[in-house]
Amino acid sequence: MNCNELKQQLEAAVEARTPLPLNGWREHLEKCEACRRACEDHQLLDHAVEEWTSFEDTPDLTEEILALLDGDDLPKSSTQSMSLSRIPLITILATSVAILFIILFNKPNGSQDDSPTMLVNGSAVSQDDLRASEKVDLEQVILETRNAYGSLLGEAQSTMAPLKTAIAEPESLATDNHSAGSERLSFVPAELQPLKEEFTQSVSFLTALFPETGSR
Amino acid sequence: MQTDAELVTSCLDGDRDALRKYVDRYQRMVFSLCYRMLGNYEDAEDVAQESLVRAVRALDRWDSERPMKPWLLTITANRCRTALMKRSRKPFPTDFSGEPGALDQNPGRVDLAEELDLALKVLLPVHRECFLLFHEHQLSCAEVGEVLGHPEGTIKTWLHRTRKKLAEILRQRGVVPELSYEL
Repeated sequence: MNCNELKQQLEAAVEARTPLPLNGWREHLEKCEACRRACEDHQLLDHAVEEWTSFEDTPDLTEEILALLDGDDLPKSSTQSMSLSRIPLITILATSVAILFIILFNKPNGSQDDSPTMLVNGSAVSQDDLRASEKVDLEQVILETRNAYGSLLGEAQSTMAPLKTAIAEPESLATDNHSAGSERLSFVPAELQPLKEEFTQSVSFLTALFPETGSR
Repeated sequence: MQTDAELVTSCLDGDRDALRKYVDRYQRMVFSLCYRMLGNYEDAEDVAQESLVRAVRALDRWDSERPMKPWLLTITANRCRTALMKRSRKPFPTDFSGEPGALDQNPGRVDLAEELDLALKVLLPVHRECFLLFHEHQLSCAEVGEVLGHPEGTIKTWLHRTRKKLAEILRQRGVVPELSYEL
């Protein structure tokens, strides 16, 4: 039996609110002043707490509290209202999840009747039919669009080059007279002409591809 | 006798008698903590009243699976802390001189409860709260931890430290403990 063991027993007795059996410690306590003091303090506190907890002088606050609560609309019972209020919420949630699953996982079974249709050049075409032919057509469209875009880009670059030169030499433009400046920029409409033609062609091409969009 | 859950359900259903029973059941506990924390009867009345009104208004948020006592004491302890903060610049209302040997002037009468009350007032509020919740309100260390928002280990440390400090103060006040082996 040592001081550490006694300290642990004292703490355990406090936490568990159990009496401390000191008989087994008598020998140690007679020799160890610190432990004896710790045990005395422990018993002193227990006695004090025993007397102290009988607190009788309590005012009656009931009427005042009820008066303060008069007119208050207390929320409904937690257990009851929770269970009742959860029912519609759970129903809505379950229905939403079910609908979501139906939308996500209910794929078309491949039959012609169930297959969705879309309008192509004003006539209804099955989406399955469309998919096969569309794949080839779309590849062609993408290729042509890419070429048209490349061509437009090239034209734009060649048009921008003289403009860049003009911007880079503002002093010479400023010292030139008006007519000289006009002459210098006279190439612009000519340079823009191919771009305009290319643009018109592209619009025609796209209009042919998507007649509904083109008519707007 | 109605359980807390039954009583609360009746209160929330607008039963005035149930509300009265609820206040009756817990006002002593609430007032007691307020009084021990604030050390002043009038302040304790105000704070106890405020705590109970708040608790009743929040009854729908009480989890009926858990005990009422720690929940209500948490509300009360928060109100007490707020009240203490509001008057933090004012001295704690106590006639405790703290001078050693004060009891020697009246050696025939040692009121341990009164001495303990006085000694508690010189403690840090959080240590006082810890001691009160554990010893007066019989909460476990884990429950005290929930009320005060600290881990159980911290509560145990505070509890033992507070007990040691209180015993020192009582000794300084002239209370002479005698060791009894027969328990």
